[in-house]
Amino acid sequence: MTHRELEYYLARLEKALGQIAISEKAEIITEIKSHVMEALDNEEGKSINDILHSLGEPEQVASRYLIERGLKPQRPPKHPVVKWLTIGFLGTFAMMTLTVLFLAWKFTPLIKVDEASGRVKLLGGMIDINESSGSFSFHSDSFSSIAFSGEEELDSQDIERVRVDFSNGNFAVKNTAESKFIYNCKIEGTSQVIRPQKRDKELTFSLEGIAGSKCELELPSNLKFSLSGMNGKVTVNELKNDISVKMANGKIGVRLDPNSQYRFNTSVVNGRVDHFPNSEEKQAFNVELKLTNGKISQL
Amino acid sequence: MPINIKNWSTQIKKGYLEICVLSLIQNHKKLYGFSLIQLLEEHGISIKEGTLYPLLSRMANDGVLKATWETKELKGHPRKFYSLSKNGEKMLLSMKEEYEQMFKNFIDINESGGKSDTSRIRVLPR
Repeated sequence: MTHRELEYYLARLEKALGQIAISEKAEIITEIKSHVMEALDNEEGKSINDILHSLGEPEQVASRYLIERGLKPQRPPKHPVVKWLTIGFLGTFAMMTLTVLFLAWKFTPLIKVDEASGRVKLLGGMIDINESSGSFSFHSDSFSSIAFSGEEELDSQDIERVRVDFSNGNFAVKNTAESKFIYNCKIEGTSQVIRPQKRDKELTFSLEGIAGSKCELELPSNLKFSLSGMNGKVTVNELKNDISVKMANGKIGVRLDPNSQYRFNTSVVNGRVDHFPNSEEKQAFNVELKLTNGKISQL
Repeated sequence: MPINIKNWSTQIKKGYLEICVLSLIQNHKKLYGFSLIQLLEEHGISIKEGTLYPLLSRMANDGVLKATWETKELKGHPRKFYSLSKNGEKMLLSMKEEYEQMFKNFIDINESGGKSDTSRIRVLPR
């Protein structure tokens, strides 16, 4: 004769007995079963549930067996959700710890002040402030950077226009007496040198997609010159050219050649624009300055 | 029973139960769990089945008790009978001596009304 409740009770007991040897477990289970059957025969009016109830929870009984043997009672099994939550929590914690350790290693020391030379280095030298020269520089090992320079022979009959495109950068442009386009650049985010390309009477120097670029450019007068980019600073020094500068965010500074005439077309959506003297003369250079956010100033 | 005495009672009962169980088994030559519970109850000792069976199991493991399975009838369920081993007999004897001594001391303390007669204390030579 088998009883469903009894079998369930014994199964739980067997599981809770844990590390006790299997043959001993069998003895224990047979004895408990024997006790229940005996009680059922002798105590009239008592149901199997009453008898099991007076025995106590199987986990409790098992823990008594374990304690009597000097073994550690098993802890109640954890719900699987608790297990996964624990794993998830520990995993997240480990990743956060690693990140913090990595950042600490990368940016140590956080601040280093050199009183003698008036320099302050922040975040392990990533930001370098030089008081005496008033300069500020941003270094990062994460990006490779490269400096390069070069010049491109320009046959004025062939090339009519020089175009520079960029994403982020700082550009200073002036004229040269030679018939050359000269560039001196430092770029970040790549280790590849960029050269100008000649195409259809146009010389294109594209720095698009470069994380950061800083260039000094020189070009002969009377060529058309255009510069367009996303973010940056552009300084135009006494150019004797038709100029077009278009940028989304930043600063455009123009230093006018006192001996030349200019016709201006400027616009800033959000920001400020200085007043520029407009010339009515035909030979005046056309200067187009378009900025979405920022400032256009006369230097 | 007040809560503070419950803990003490559990502690003191542990050894007391063992000596009572062993004595009953000795008197009846052999006993199985269910009949042992009934006999203990007749003597005013109530013990939970969940406490007795692990205790018996441990004493059998320690070699104090011998266990044999017996089936009364062909249809009946098997019963696990416990009897004292030779070691168990010896152990029970020492346990009884120890317990009797302890009990005597206890009676002694209480008969003197809690005031000990200092003249009876022997000073051990160094």
